[in-house]
Amino acid sequence: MREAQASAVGAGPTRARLAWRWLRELPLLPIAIILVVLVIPAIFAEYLAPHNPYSGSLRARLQPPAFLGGPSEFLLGTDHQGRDIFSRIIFGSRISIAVAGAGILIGGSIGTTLGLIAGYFRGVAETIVTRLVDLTLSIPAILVALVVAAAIGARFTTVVAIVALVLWAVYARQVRAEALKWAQSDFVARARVAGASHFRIIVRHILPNIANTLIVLSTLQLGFVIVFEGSLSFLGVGIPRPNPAWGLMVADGRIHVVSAWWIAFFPGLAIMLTVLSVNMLGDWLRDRLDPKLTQV
Amino acid sequence: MLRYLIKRLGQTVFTLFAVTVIVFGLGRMTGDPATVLMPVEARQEDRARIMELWGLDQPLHVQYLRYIGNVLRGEFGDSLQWPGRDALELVLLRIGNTLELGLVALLFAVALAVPIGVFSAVYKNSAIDHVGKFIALLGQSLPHFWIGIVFIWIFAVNLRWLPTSGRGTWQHLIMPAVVIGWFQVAALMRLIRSAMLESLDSEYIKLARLKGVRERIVIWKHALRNAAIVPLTYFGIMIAYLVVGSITTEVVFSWPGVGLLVVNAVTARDFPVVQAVTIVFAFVIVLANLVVDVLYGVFDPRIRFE
Repeated sequence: MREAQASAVGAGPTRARLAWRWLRELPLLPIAIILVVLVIPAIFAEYLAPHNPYSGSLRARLQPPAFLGGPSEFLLGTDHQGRDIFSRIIFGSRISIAVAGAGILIGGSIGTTLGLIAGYFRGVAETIVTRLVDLTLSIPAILVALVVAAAIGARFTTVVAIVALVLWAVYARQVRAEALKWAQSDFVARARVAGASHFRIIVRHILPNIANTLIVLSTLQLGFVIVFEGSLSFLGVGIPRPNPAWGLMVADGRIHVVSAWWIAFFPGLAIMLTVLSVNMLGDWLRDRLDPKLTQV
Repeated sequence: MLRYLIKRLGQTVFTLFAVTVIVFGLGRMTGDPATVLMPVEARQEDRARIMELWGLDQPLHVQYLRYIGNVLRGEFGDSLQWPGRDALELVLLRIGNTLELGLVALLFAVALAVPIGVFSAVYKNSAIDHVGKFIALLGQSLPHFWIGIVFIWIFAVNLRWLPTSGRGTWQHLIMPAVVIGWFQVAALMRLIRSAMLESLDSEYIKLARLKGVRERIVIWKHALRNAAIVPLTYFGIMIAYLVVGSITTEVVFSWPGVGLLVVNAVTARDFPVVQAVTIVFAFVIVLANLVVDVLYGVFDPRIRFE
């Protein structure tokens, strides 16, 4: 595939021009939103947040946003404990990134490995993996999260573990299908004739061909994980208080919706903007890199 | 057909077995299940008595067999939050409310997704197709729990059109059902669109058109009928999402269903109730999937031979 592309480049426009064309078509708005709402706040939280996200003054509780007549020091208002919502949203981006990053990395690695093994070796391994995938996908993860929270309590590690538990199955299913296809290709047959080991074939010949699928899948899962972690935290079975997880902030604001709507509104808006942008970017990447990957 | 049925039934039993193992395992994971299963303020001698009574001093596999026996008899123990109330009874009392909400949400989703899906396939790349795509994207990106609160703020607090929360009149149903159903619209619409595109492209549609059948009938009868089978497989997943969606949405709208029950039970560390809800939900979802798969086997014989 890569060779085919290279020869096409040789005949047509230069590689640099192709890269430029690619860059020019990047969906700029979603990328800008992801940077502004998620990435930049997560990196520079200490410098960007005007207040301490964990403590506030009770005297400054339930202040409306600055642009609605509230004190100018609280851009998006304060919550029931007088904490600055803007600062909490900024620090909250770290939680979203950490949970999504760790969950996708762990779940993705396990799922990809098992998917490769199942698709390449077939046989018993494939039967076991597909059974486990079906099983995992048939039990809603939120139920597992509820049982875990009731049994051992919710914390960061349990949330990441539950995210990884759902994601591995999604990756394994997709990767197995891809590995199955590539394992039957000519170049794998030739590598085998040339004496390449199974490990080498999987890592050097099959994995690079699946890379695009993995990129697209990970982007699309990122949005899912952020909403999922938000739901768990909202229900009180995710990130524990007083962490500024976005879902937790929405939960805090729920009972104050009549008098102070901004407590729930802005963190939820942050989730929505991030996830919408990530999904748009994912759709765009899918069209570019892996048009065959099924929707839904 | 019989072989297919037996195979699917076997898978169902396996899944349910796995669910019980997971719930059992998590309940024992802390090392001391009495801590999980009993209220925090329980005395040491009560604890020891309960350990003996429930056979918690027995080896794990004996405990599991005992446990599965209890589950099969529907005995999850008494609720810790409401002493003297059977955990399963609490679930069964509320499951009707959850099903009511889920059913209305499903109707809303189908009523919205089918026309949008059909029109965006018939008028591909038109304005309605783009609007549909945007609705789908939005549906997948909006967090349930947040949109519910935003709805309450707009329609209940400010406009005063609808009640904020609880159950009672049909007005109480509108917001929670829309919030749950909205999520389904996105996926269902996409499925119907792609199935319709394929169906409209087929030979029998060309034939119907050649015969001079009116376009409206071609679309809504010939094409849709054949396209409708594809989204059917999705119904199993949809039921799972309805169940999951009901959990957050019931909390937002204080809807007295199983979702609200289980979240309160988790907060109160009422493990018997959490267990009962999890197992009941898992049964509902797994059985719904089984029914869908069997129906699919009936409608599309090819699937049976895979």
